[in-house]
Amino acid sequence: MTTQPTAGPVITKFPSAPVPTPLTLAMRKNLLVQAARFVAIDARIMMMVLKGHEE
Amino acid sequence: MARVLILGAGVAGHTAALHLRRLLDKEHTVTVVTPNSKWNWIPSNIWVGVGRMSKKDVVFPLAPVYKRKGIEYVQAKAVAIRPNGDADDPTGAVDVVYTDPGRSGQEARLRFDYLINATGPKLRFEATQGLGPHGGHTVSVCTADHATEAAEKFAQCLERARAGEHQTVVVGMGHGTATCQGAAFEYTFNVEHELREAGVRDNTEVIYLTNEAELGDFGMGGMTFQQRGFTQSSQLWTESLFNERDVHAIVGAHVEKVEPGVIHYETLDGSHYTQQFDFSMLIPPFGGVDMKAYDRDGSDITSEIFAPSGFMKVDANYTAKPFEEWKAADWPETYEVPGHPNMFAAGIAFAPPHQISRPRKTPNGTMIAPAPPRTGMPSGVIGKTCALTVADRIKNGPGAPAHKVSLAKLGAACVASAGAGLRTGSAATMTVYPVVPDWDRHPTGRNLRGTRGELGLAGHWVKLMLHYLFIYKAKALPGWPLIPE
Repeated sequence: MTTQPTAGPVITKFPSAPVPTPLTLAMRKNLLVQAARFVAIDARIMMMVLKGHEE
Repeated sequence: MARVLILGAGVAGHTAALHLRRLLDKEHTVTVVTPNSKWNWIPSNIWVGVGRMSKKDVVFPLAPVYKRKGIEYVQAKAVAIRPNGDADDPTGAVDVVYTDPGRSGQEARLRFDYLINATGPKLRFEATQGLGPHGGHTVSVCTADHATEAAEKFAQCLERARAGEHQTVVVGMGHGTATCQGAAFEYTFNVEHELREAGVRDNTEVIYLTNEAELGDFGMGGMTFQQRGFTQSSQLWTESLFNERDVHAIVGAHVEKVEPGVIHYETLDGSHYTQQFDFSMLIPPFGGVDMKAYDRDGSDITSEIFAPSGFMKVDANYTAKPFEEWKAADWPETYEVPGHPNMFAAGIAFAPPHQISRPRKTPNGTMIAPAPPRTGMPSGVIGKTCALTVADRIKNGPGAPAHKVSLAKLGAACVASAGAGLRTGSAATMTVYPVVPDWDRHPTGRNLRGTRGELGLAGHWVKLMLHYLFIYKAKALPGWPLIPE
């Protein structure tokens, strides 16, 4: 079966949402930047694990 | 000697079993009752569902692990709990029906001194006509077998797209009260990624169909992130990704029924629509497994032990009240069953006191209310907490205080894959702190320093690392207790 592009209550664009710039998209793939982010994300998760509870 | 019975070997039950065996002397028995013979790292099922991994990458047999660790393993389905025992013996008991091929269908009554119910969800495909892989018209990634079938159907969809047929892919929630939006979100973007990698993206439409009133809700009422000196809603953050990847959305939808190639749904304004599809993965609503509860005299006390949803009542505040009056303090801390200090419910098995996301009703009276997520990290932490309490009570007496953990205080990380590949992959990494917003403590409901979201390749590496780490831990290989829940 070949379907046709949709009509109806399907949202195809979110006009108020920001669109990343080419630089942002490149940074999301840059190995050096992402290696640093990998460490930062792991650190953030570990902080949460070690802190455990919010008291 | 104490007998500890654990129902279920998912994240919560398996974690509890391993910790209890570590904490208790060998004179005490730890027994796991589960109908399954294999452990499944469910978060990676989405990669099985697009053909990036196979079933063997996400499951392993439980029996050898339990044999090595000295944990008794009963492959059976629990059908009834007798908290106060029966006419013959006041010791608590669970009635089981074996699923082990050698004894399939045989019944037994297992006694316990302490019980942890971690049975996980019943996948209620039957709640929506035509939903799911068992005679329905959609696929699922809720189990490894479902995900394997999803991969086969998705490969056929890819082939049709390569042959020049326009394909519509619909991924999302199969009912107005379903949960696990994160898994549907992940599968949506993994499918989109694979279509792009295959060079057929221009010939396909990808639609995320959800019961969330707005994108970025994730069944948690959305989040507020603080980034680069500004606060930003998870709605805008998520919508930005949808724009970037040209993924379309249907929000605030309750799927009424699915026919071959057509989804019928109702939206929050009460309108009814249909959506054509060539390939669809919709998550079913969850319910508690069908267990009954009986008193010593055989009288049915199911409604005393279980909520109408089938989940087990614990130390939460279940008083019915308006959304505006819901409090973080309503959420349980000890997971003890009221009146039964030797019984606990962990992970998905405990009955949440209320939704986290605002429940809504259409003018026709249809509930569209995403159920609260309590999988993954919170499940593991709750399982361990129950294990610590049981171990303390066995060692120090039944009056030992319970360990506490509340989803209204506990943080969680959700790494939602948006495409696999060591150099081309990406993921949305979200941390929420706490899971259940506490509006009395924080103006945005959560601690802004701990609640973050970011997109990028690093998130994919984190998810891949968690895949290997948690399978290593679940196999109880050397040093496993060092890996946190």
